[in-house]
Amino acid sequence: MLTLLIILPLLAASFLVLLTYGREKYTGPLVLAGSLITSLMILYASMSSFGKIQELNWFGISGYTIHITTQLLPLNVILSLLIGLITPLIMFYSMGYMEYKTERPRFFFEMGIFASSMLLFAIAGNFITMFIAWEMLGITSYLLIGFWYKRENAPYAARKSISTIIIGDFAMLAAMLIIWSSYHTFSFASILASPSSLYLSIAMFMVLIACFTKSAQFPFHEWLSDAMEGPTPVSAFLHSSTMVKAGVFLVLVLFPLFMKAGLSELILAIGIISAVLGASNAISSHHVKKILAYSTIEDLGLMFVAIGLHAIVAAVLFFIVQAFYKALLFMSAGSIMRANNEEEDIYKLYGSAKRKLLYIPTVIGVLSIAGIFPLSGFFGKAAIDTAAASNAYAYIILVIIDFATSAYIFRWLFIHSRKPSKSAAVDYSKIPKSMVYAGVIASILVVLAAFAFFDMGSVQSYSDYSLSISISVIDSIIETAAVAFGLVVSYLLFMKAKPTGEIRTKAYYILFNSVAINAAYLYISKAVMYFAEGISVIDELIYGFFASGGEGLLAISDKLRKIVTGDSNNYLIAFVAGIILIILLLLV
Amino acid sequence: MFPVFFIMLAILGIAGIASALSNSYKQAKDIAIVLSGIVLLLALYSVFLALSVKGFIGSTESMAYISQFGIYLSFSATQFGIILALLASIVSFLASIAVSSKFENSKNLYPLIMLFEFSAIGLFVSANLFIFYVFWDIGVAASYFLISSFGKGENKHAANTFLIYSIFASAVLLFGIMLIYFYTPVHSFDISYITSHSYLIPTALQGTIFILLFIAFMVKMPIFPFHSWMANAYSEAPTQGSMLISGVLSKFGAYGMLLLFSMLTFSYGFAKYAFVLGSVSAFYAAFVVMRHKDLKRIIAYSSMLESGIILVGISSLNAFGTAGAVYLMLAHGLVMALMFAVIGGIEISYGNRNITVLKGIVKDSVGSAYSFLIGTFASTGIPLTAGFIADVLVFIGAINAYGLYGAIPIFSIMLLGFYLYYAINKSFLSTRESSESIARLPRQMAVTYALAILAIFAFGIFPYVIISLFGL
Repeated sequence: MLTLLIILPLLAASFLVLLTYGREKYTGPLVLAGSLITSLMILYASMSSFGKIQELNWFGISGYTIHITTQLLPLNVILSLLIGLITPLIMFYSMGYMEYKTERPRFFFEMGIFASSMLLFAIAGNFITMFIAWEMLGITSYLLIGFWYKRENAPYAARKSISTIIIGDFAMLAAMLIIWSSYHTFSFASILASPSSLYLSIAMFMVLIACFTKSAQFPFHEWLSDAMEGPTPVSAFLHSSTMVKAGVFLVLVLFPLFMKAGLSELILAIGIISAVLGASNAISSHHVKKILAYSTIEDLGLMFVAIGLHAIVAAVLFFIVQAFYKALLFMSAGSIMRANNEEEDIYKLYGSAKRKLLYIPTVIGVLSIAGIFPLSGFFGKAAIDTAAASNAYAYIILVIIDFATSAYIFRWLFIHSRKPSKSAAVDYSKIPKSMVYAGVIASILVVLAAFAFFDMGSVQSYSDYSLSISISVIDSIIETAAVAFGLVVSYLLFMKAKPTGEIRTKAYYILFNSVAINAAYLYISKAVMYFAEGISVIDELIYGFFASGGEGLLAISDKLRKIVTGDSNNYLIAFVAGIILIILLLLV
Repeated sequence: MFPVFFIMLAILGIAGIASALSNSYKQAKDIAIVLSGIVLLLALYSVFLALSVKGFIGSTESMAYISQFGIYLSFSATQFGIILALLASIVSFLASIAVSSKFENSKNLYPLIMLFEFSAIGLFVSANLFIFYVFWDIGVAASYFLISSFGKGENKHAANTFLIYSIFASAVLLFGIMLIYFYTPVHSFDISYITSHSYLIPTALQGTIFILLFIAFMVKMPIFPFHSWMANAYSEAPTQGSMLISGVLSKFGAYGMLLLFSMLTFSYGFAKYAFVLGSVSAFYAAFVVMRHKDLKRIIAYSSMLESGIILVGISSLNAFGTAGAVYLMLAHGLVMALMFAVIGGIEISYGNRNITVLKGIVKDSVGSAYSFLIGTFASTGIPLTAGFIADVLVFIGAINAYGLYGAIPIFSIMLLGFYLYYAINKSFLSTRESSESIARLPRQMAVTYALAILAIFAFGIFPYVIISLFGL
């Protein structure tokens, strides 16, 4: 079967959605149906075309052909199946979430296009196919972050995300063309099989920058917290479980090239910095979704740490499990916000413990992200910790991050599960059913995802990397101890002490450093604007230069035309003077 | 063979005269739409001929004109020429459909559009430099009248600036062409003859000729530092004028540049300076655009940026760079037509085009807002738009020719992207406040947007139709 066809149902459904203006009750079911058919086709393709690379000619020039290539190698299958599971779930959640009928077709159109491009990204087998999907991810993310045109910060957040992401887009374009010039092919398989070339390190460095912008790594990470201005399904889908992991995925696919380019230390360092920044901001933020966004930055940082430590399979495992629990937590956050009149400050959210069908899945998600045995998050984290055992610095930082993760996620849980005060208008019965049930299904997936660890052996046997995965008992005990300590600290600070959120100590400002990073972004953009100001002054000078040239000519003509007076006496004098001059010249 | 170019030019001549003689605005517009539509079909037919009939590329249609001096009215089908003729016919067709707010009842606009299309198609398929020059100057004249009689605000000043720069360029061009004529062994204007015999021209003289023609084409493209006419001309012209001047007239220079680089062997030594000039021009435009608030000026400078990229492609002197430059001319012409049409539509709807004043366009003019967004995608080279194919080809060419330096100009497009998205989020996709809409978008404008978007995506998704021409 042609692998590219798996996108078709979803893509067709997304375009058909545009016809449902005026009949909005069909919008959600239409996309849901499309995504379910796509999921079945993914399942079928992952069995029938497993391991196949298919090339379609796109266009040819001067003896070379540019292909649209798809491949279904183990990593591609993993990401496709992940998308196949999460897309219908998110669409189902969104059906309840989108209460404004008139906005529904636009929302589902953009979500559908996003899901299709994510799937194309997952099965891309060469740079050009990957880049098509990559750019579509960027622009759909841009449109979805800025979805609420009415909100004050949404347009700004959308612009921030696209401005960060296009740095990566153009770095990627440059890198891929440099790679083409060395290898004369875009195909991943051929490039991975070829020996290193002249510009490989600089090209891979640019690819890495692109991956860091997409996966929100330092210093490009701040757009992700602003991206929370988008609707909650968008946060649950794009900005936690799929699109932001595109960068990690690409690094995984091209990992041997990064090794050849000698970039794994850089990947490790940036991963650690991002994870620390993510954890520290998550522990101090007051925004219910931004806490989870910073947590996503941390998760992605941990994946890069695992890759930097060459623990590829551990990174893949964490890649899988993170998708489920993060999607679940965002869905819960959306439901809790809905019950509290779309309030976003976590200290003004109450009573999530009241609705058991909402609360139990949330707790499962929280336990999983904290890393408590036997939930899926534990396996991911313990595998990364075990891999880091040889590197003392990385190991210590990872344990601290484990502690911080547990502390901030229980803080998140404890604060919004407080009993509501009498004045607060909290109504948990108004959460649409599909939002609640989507959370329940997601929590089941979170539990089941733990089995991924036991199935990682099958990934290894297909994979090119002969790297193993293991979890040692000592590392698991240390990890669990850190998590338990985090839980205790969190309980004392945020459950016992009944905080109001008004504390602003020095420690708070050190932890909540996103302010400083945003200020740095602002300085850079101001510097660019000042430079642009200088150039535009030059532009005016150039215009003035040519204009004054014109004026100079006019001035000369002004002088010259005064000779032509029309007075015959003047002409006579000039005539005589001229004759005398000529005679003199002839005599001399 | 069926003389397709003569017929196209004849139809355009008839169209110009008929619309000039027509009684009413509506009649003139209808004549222009129908006849430029027929020319568009003929242009598509010529592409079809090129793809299907062996020997069509390189065939010449000729008629004696001043034969004792070796001057013929001769048109030849080159693969680049017919692509650009297709572009000219699409953009002119769109310009005949579009309307602009102030000159709703002026029928004299349409003869000028037809005259402009006449000059553009004639220039792109001309087989000798003599008629190249003739059509070049007809184009200048048509553009001058478009700006000076139909523009707004400072249009007289803008038109005069445009005319002075253009006359300078024409004079230099004519001088260069004359030098070529006198120093080729048999005194020929014929482009293919000059291309094959240019090595016979002494190197020092070739340098002079090259610089003269290079300056002439630089002015028209425009390339830094001869660009000062551009922002005024684009912004003061009427909507249709901006579409034609930025979409097609700037391609006169780019096409001339392409001919120049293939004609004279001197280009091999000079190409690296042209590359630097193109890159500088692109970055310069990317920074200047950041200080402008008028949508037309923003798009004008983005057009200058793309001209710089076109020069980068041409100067790489290989199959990829050249093909990319031509594809970029096509893509960029269509994008400019779309962008200026959208700005024209916004001007009709809101009476303004300043991004500091305009707010919340998506609320009342959904079509204009999303079309501008698509135009932005296309000008920043998002895949599946024509700009992407062009960027890929241009920069593969540049990297092959200049190594890593060839990749640097890519980042000028990134700078442009920053500012275009800023403009979009400020004025288009944010409805917290919204400007008051004074008029509905005319249906003709919606049709213009739709056709331009269709063309942009068609050339982006099915590039092989055009690109297979380059292999012939």
